[in-house]
Amino acid sequence: MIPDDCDLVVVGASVAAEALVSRLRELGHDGDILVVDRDPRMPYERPPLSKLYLTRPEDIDIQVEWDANTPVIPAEAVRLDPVGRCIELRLHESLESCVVRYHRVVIATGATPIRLPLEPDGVLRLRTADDSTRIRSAAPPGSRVGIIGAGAIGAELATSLRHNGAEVVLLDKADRPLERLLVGHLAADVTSWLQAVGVDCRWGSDIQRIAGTPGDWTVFLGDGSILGFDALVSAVGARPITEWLADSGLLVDGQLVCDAEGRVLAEGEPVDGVFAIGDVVTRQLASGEWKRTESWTAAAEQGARLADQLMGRHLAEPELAYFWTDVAGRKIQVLGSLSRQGAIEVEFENPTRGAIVYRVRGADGSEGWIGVNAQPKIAMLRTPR
Amino acid sequence: MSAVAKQLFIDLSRCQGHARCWAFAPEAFGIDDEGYSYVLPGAEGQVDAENVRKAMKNCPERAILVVDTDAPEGAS
Repeated sequence: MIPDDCDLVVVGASVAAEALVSRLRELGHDGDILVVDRDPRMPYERPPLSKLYLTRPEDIDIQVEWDANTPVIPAEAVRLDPVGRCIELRLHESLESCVVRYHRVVIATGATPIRLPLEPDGVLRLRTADDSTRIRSAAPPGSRVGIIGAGAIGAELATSLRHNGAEVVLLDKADRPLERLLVGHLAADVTSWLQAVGVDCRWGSDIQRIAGTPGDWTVFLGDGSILGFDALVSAVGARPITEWLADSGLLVDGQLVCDAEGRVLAEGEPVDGVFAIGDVVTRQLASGEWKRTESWTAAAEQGARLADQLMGRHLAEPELAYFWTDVAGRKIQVLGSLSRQGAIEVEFENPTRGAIVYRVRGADGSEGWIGVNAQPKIAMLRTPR
Repeated sequence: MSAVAKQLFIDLSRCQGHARCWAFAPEAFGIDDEGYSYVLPGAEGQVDAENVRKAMKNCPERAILVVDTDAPEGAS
């Protein structure tokens, strides 16, 4: 089943890998491509896992249409030797190990939720489809659910579980929601939308201790309050999955770093035949800035661009960064780059639809937009015609 | 007389208004005032066009489907 030699090995089968493989095939790449993923259910879509897959799982098929000539093997990559150009895999079912020699390897292992040091076992997290199913089962109508972290995932989980009829408390150490996405903008609005659908928002929560077991949790906060929950979900962020690269010589301070074209860098120089795409990798942008993104759109774009590059095609200009989240019945879209201290002004408003577009201009010349229920306007900003 | 034909179809329960289809294939897709996409009249049969395939790949919700349909008599 697993070849000894392979032209291209892709580690991870999520959106970046799918974009890479489908674009390579579209451009006529007919060599062997071996794709492995440690999640035997891959390839599937992750964006619905905190949304429709939680509220109406029977109404959505998350499996991704995948190139028939490119099998996805359930296996975990355990070691990479970029000098000898070989990768060690552990097969999912048999747990047998095998070594594959590659001509090129693409690292697309993604990111995994961070655990807080004070989190006991049994606190739920969202990464995989199975995680989503576990969360749905643990938070039936009427149950008390605590969600730690009011980022996009936490706020979406709160929205979906509340929609399902659970009593939801959303806790964050920061004094506002969607801190990383909106960098401080619209905090009062987002809070009021969450509260309007019945989510109990506890910003500035300093969790001191978590006691209990699944079905009976107690959370102790710094202000002396004590909260009881049937289910606890931690959504405090993610870190890249790079442990398996520990002895590869590719990590810089524990991070996998690549240039703007996805070539992995070691000591500042591209490593022959090693590329990385998606949430796993920190990119050096043209501006010199280092950035790791956790974004469906960025991952898909990186995969498709790497395919163009590997096939010697001209590379299109990168698109404006784009991210969306569905919170409390509103679609929030962010386009471009938001500056924390930037001046925010209303660029468009349609109160009857609850649609609004804000433009945020930074002192450094950066420009970004936040749309709320304003899909047509954001579409036009994203694709000027 | 009717023949089975492949047609583009947007599943509005999935479409979330990212408008990627409109960005990649404006000759085949439009967006309405609410931000939802639709297949332009006359473009339903463009299932194999390169831009349309790009649009399908780039839809974050995989809302663009190709469905078999009984083409009405005389349809091309």
